[in-house]
Amino acid sequence: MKDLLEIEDLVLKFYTYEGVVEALDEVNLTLKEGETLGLVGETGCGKSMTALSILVLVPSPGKIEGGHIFIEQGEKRLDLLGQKEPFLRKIRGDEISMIFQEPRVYLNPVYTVLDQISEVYMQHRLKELCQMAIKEIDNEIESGKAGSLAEFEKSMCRELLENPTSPMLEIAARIPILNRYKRRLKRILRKEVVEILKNMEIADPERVVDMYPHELSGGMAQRVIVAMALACNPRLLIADEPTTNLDVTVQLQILNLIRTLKKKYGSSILYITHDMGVVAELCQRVAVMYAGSVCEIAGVMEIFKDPLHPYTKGLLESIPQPGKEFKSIEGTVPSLINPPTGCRFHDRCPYALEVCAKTKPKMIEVKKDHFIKCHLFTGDQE
Amino acid sequence: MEASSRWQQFKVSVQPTLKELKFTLNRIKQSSISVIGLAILVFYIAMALLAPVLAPPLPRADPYMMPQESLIFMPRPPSPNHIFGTTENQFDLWYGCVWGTRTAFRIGFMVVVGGLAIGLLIGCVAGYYGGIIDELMMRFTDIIFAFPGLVLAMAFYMAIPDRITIFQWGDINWTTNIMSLDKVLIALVLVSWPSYTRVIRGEILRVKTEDYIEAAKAVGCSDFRVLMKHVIPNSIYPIVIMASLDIGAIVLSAAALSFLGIGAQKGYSDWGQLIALSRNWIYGDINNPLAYWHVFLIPGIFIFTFVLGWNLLGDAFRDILDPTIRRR
Repeated sequence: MKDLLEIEDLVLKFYTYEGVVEALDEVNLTLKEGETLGLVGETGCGKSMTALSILVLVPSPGKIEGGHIFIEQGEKRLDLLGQKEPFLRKIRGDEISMIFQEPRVYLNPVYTVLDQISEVYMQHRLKELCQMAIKEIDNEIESGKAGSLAEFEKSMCRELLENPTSPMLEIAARIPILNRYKRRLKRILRKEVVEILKNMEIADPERVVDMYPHELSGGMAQRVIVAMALACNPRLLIADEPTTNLDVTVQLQILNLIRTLKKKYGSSILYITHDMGVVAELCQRVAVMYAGSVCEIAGVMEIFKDPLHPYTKGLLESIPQPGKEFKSIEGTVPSLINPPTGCRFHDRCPYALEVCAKTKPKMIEVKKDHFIKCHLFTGDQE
Repeated sequence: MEASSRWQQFKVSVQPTLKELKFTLNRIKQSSISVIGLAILVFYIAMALLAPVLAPPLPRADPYMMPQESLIFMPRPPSPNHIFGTTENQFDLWYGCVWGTRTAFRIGFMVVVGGLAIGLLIGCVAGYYGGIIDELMMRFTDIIFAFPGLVLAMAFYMAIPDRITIFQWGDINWTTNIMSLDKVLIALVLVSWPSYTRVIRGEILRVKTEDYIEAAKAVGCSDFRVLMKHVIPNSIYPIVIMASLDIGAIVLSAAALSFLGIGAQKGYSDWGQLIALSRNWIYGDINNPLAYWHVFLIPGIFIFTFVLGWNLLGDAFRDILDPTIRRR
């Protein structure tokens, strides 16, 4: 399998009044084509920031200070961090798209479901839409059903196809009769959106399409968000805790939906969560993050059976199990303004060596496809 | 058959709009106060539309100029010929009040639209882009804010020339006169925008950090599109409501300016001017202090009810136009 996405030594810093927050410290990740990678870690360890970095949408005062994010584009590898804004806009939503945590707040309250999903479609699939409209008009002309303005409509669609920002169209769209082409496009768009919603297993999509976000239930809103993300068949889907705020049954439905859609569209998924159960259910590989860096990556069975990094061990032990006493990792998550020197986990680590406080460990491959960032395995014990 | 199917399509396409309109009307109906407000405004709108019927202008005269029977200084009380009587210099009060309705609507709408346009532009740019642009624009707004509105409006009025040259090239001169009422409009616009700017900037700062804006960016929208399609529709309601409440208040300010002698040219149908003309007659004489009551009371009632109507309706607008509390 080819690598679809490769993150190399990503460094992200936030310049706040209180000091520099070192949110991401040399994150390394690879995502293969067609796989589902789980990204787990505690709250505030930089999972969401990694996701936003991939879209190059880090909120200010954040700044990406180093590293590369490569994405496979045909034969080439492109570094997203060096690209200009217009190019990135073409990528966002089309090739890489994102499902967010809180479905309700990520939907714009003043637009209907139709408007929200067509927004994505209009951004990236305008050409296909025009071609469909032209085809429809041609069919009408052939069967003799066309109105008197069919030829004119066709020429408008063609103009839109060739020159989407033409000022002539801007004016025509506001004049009745002349803007018929726009209505046809809207009709086709509506059909497309209903089709997408049907794929999301939404009951009665014809009705849902005209609803506003506040009329949707949580599960329904999350399906709409998933629909928005998948409207353009992205190659990479980033799911940022999509089921955290849903109750368990709806959660399962959404997970099943994501799994079937993945089979259908063949996208790779970066699944961000702190729920180990979901990871076991859905992912092929797991990356564990702690305080701004990835400390262990391995296959999902490997992680559960043979966790090597002390943090991963602690994390797995702190999953509550019936009949056992609660266990948690000693100490607290460090502040990222003055992070611990060396390995960021050393002051909570039961196996810490002297070297751990001094130098940062490097990512090494201890077994096949099992990467780890820990001095216990690198052999630099000085 | 073709036509009827198109009609069906049209019916389906307007259905949601009609439904919302019905809902809005129902909401207005529910509160008696806003029904009164609406009734007052409907009355004034009808009066403005029917002005040529209610008070037919003289042939070949500017319909906005009040007819003047003679130059006698003293007002005359209501009579069958002049049902509201005449004011100073024998201007017909009924005619002035009826045609003044048009002037009032014109002042209210144009000043509000102008103020909104400037306020929206500056507020959006300042709020959305932030940083040094925000700082500069908001400090400028503060400076305008620091002056008392009416005084600043007077200063602007004085500063606007009567004639301006739009285009000049060699001997070709293209100049235009600015009517003194338009000068008042411009002056009021230049004074009224800062409050809109403040509110819209605050709203944009709030909306900018909402998660759906991030989602819109993640979908690939450009900055301009995010601002126009996602930020503004979510932040515009407070100032739309503010503006609808302001229409009444602006008519009041224009009347106040008129009273101070800054307004339309003499004889122009304008309620403010009618009030200004009554200045000498508020107190009649020792024996009969209210001898000239009609001169100030009638235009006063017109202004009072007009502003009251907007204020009553504005309250209802606040509940109805805001989509988040609309259905509660």
